[in-house]
Amino acid sequence: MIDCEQVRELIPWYLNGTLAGVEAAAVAAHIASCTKCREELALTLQLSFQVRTAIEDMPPVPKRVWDRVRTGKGEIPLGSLNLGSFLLGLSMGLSVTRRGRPRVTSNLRLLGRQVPIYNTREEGGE
Amino acid sequence: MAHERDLLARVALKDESSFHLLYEEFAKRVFRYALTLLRDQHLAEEVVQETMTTVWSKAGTYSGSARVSTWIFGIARHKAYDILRSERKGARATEVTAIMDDPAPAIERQERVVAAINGLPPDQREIVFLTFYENLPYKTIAHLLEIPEGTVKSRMYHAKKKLAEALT
Repeated sequence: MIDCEQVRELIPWYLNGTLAGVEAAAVAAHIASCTKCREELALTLQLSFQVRTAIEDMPPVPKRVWDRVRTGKGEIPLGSLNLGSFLLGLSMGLSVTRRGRPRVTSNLRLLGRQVPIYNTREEGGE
Repeated sequence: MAHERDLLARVALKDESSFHLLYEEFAKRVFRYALTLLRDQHLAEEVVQETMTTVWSKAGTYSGSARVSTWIFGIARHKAYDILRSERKGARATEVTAIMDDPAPAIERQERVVAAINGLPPDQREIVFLTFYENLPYKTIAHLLEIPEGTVKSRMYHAKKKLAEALT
């Protein structure tokens, strides 16, 4: 048996249909015999409807967001090529993206020391 | 559900058309979630962009232990709360535009509902959204928000009380 307080806590999930079978049955049995909890059920139903309607009336996602996802930070690589030389400790990477602007990264180490040679970075990139 | 998992598996293999389908499936939901939390359209767009970019780059890390939607909302939540934290520090205060400025909720009653939702603290707003709009079980919400189930129920209790005071 569950009491009114427990039932009122569970009513939102009773209404959205996600309570486990045992819990849902206990709530249903309690509500059938409790006027106060039936009122609470009706109130929650009304609120959930109002909230849902308000959320559904929110503006749509502008198309520019998808454009930014595709071409912004989340650029979609078409291919990449990595070259390296074990002897020189040199590695270079070339990535071709949908923007068509290759990004070149390099890493040169001579005798354990980092030697800066050439890098290109995306504008506004991280 | 299996459909979403299949899509995500293909996204992990860098299949662009699957990514577009996944975007179509989730962008609106993530946008509404972010809008509910942040109350600002531009910031909500940013959350969608960053969330879907992360989905693209991290799809291979999805373990399959939770629903795809729970995984994606988890990413969105972190992005949204990062923004909320920076808002609180005042770092981006000039960029804020209230959702109430948006012309979408045209009728007066609808505006009252939106105002009532916006009047809730963010941690209550998101539980209201996840319960009433996303229809998530309280156990899943507790998992997503990394809080005890009892906290989910008590936040909902307080949120409902405030909504009822404002709307009835």
